[in-house]
Amino acid sequence: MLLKNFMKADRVILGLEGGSQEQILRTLIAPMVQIGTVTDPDQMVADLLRRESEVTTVIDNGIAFPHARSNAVRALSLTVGIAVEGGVSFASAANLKTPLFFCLAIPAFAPTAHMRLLQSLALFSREMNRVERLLQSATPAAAARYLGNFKG
Amino acid sequence: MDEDEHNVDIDKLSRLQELEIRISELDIVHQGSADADAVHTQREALRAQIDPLVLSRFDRLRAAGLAVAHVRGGMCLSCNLSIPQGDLNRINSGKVEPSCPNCGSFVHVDV
Repeated sequence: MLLKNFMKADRVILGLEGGSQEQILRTLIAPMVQIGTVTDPDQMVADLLRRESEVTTVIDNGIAFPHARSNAVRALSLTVGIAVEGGVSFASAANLKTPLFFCLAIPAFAPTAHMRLLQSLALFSREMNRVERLLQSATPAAAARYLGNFKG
Repeated sequence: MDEDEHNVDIDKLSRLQELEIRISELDIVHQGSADADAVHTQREALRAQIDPLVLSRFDRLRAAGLAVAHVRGGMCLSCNLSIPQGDLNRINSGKVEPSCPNCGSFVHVDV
C-alpha cells in the first residue's frame, strides 16, 4: 500500500544505460524534475553524489538505493531505474553490476519521511525472485503495478 | 534562559541528527554491515564536541522523533505551529538559543 502511493509509470525508467555515476543519477532524477518534486537538479545530483561518496548505497546483490536529503526537494519521491541487461557499473568500489536502482529524493525539512519507504524497498530487494520479476517488466506501467502491489 | 548564554551550535546538532539518521538508513539497507562503523565513529566524535546539557536535551528530543526541525514561513515543521516574529528575530540574531517556543525542538531557520 505504501509503495503504491509512490509508484506510477512515469517514475520508472526501463533500459537505463551506463555512464558516470553523475550521468546515472541525473537520469534517475529526471522524472522528479519533470513532476516538480525536485526543483534544482544540479543541487540534487550534488547531494546524491556526496552521499554516495560517504558510504555506497549499493548492497550485496548489486541493487543501489541512491538517496539524499536536499533543499532542492519539495516532496518525498521515488524513481525506479531498471538497467539494461547485465546491469551497469555504479559504485567504483563495488565489483558488481547494478541491475536495479531505487532513487529517493528526501526533503531536507522532513529528514525521516522516507524511512518506511526505504524499509519496504529493502525488504522487496532481499528476495531475488521478486527482483528478477521486476527486472523482466515489459513496460514502465507493468513495473509500477508489480512494485506497487508489494505488501512490505 | 538568559540571553547570550546559550551553547547551542545548531550546525553541529543538525550534523549529529544527520549521522543518526544515516545510521538508521544503513541498518535498513545494509543490515548492520561494517559500512556503518565509520559513521558511528563520526557520530561519537561529534557528540564529544557538544555541551552535555545540550546533548541530553538532544537525546530526549530524538527519542521522540526529530531533535532539529526546520522553520519555514515562520512555522516550526516539527510541531507545525507558528513561531512569533520577535522570537525568530532573536534566534536569527543569535541572542537566544535556536529552539521552538512551542515544542522545544532545536530549530534551523530556513532563509
